[in-house]
Amino acid sequence: MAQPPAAGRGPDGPAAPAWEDLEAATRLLGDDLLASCAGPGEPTLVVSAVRLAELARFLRDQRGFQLLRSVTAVDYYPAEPRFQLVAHFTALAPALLHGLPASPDGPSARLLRVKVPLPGAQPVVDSLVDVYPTADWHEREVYDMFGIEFAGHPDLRRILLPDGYHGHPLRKDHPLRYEEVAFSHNRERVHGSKPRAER
Amino acid sequence: MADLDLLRPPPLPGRDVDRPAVADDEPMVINIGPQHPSTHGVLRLVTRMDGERIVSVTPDIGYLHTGIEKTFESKTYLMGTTLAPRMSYLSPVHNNLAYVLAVEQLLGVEVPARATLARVILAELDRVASHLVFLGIHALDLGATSPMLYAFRERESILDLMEMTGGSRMFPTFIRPGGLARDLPPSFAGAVDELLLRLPQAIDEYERLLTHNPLWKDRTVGVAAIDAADALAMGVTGPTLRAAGVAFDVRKAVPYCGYQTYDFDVPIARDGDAYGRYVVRVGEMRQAVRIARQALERLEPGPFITADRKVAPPPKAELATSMEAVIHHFKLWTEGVTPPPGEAYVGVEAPRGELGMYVVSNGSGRPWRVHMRSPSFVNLQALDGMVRGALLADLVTGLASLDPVLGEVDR
Repeated sequence: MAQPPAAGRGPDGPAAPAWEDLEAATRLLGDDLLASCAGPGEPTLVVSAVRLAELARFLRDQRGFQLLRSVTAVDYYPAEPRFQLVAHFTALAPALLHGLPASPDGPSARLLRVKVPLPGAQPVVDSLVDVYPTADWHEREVYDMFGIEFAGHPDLRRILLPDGYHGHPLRKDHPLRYEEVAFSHNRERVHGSKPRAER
Repeated sequence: MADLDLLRPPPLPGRDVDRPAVADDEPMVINIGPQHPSTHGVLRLVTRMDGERIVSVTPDIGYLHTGIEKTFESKTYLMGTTLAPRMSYLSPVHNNLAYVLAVEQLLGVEVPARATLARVILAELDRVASHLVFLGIHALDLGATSPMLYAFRERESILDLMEMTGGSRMFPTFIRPGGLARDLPPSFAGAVDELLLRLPQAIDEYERLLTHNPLWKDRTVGVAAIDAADALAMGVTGPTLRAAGVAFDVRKAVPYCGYQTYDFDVPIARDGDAYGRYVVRVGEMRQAVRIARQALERLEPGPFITADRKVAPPPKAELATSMEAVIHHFKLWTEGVTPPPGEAYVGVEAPRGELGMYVVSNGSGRPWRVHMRSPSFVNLQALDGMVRGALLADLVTGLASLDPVLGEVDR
């Protein structure tokens, strides 16, 4: 079988043989791997929510992805499944971990993006905090901004917005501006629709 | 001899009487911030203390939250280039660069060599300027006033160069999708050359003030240390990770802007402490001078922005003669650039660590989603683990050595 083109990223061309990572993930996940893409751009896996934590543990322990760069989400409202959780991973060459420059022949870092589709009603996914402690604040931010819940997160509460805030502002159906300006003709309606601080 | 009791003020009613009893083994909670000079912005640290020792630190962030990611969704891609640098006001060029690289990756556009070289020069100058602020403010936090005055002197020269390019000192926004906003001014190369000659001596001067200074070492050596495994687990990047002995630099590992063609080293330290972070950053300033020098030598006259009319506007002169140019101009300033549907994540080595821009396009003139992986946000999370068991004064050292920008933490 011909080797498919390696995918890296960025304006400077391929940086990493992503194919092996994708193949290993395919063997692990079977039908729960919904889609995969070797490039162009960052190699990407789309997995079902139930297997995310397992995949993350596999990536860290078996494939050398020590670094979780970010966890975020995208709202595709009104499409369904509405949300996509997006996590970016980096695998560093062993030489780098010992403070040495990476060898010039091999790639010094491999990148991987993992996406998880989530439904619009009650989006829940397993937390990655056990595997990658850095996920703590990322997941709190996703919860704050999108209202996606992370099962098993030790301290899931808002991080950037105040505790009494209503709604999740990065959802597409959240208004860009806070409120309509109240005039005498619409005062009742505008004031009536304001979220009140709970007493 | 006067009766001493008469000189003493009478006891205030209620004082020392109604104070609630605190159990000896219960940690005392000290609130630092949100308005406090050593928090580098608007940051609140809820600190639990056992005597002088820190039991835990819980950062409370969000005071500078502006909803910038939501704002991106209602702006065109070109408007986004001026919005991105607002996130981190100490390294605006890197924010600008990361966002533009992500948009260019979506567009699949080639950037002229001159523009790429100018980006490298500006990015490295930006790194030096940012590290100078780190140096000055870190020393100031620990009680040394003079390094701040010296560091801001050189930073001022760098900001003058930024002003020369884009007209603004703090937010030049000179980097645009496809290249640069305009060509570098004729006097730019000479001014950079002059600065690059001066900087190594200036860095020597800072080192004479601090590197072997016993007071400085007393306050930083072994303070707020984190080892490589913990740092990676906490997602720490940049000088903080390299100070722990991991030679991960995005410019080497996942090169952008042709960094793989430059000859430079990645300074590292082994102990992962505040002193190591200082040493790494000073080393990085020297390497930045080296890289900028190499880029300056390669700089040759040529186009500064792509000739692709779907990305870059036509030159003004063409508008008088070409109907096509008028249409392109009109489309670009009304609709803007329209990348095909897709997503791009580009990480750059910003002064504080990996700065990632994740941009999702749905094919329209405005991004569907922009997420910023800001290094300060992630690094700040590691603060608690670094300072547990340390003295309260070391918390100030630990925080300053992370060099967080709160605008970047809260976005």
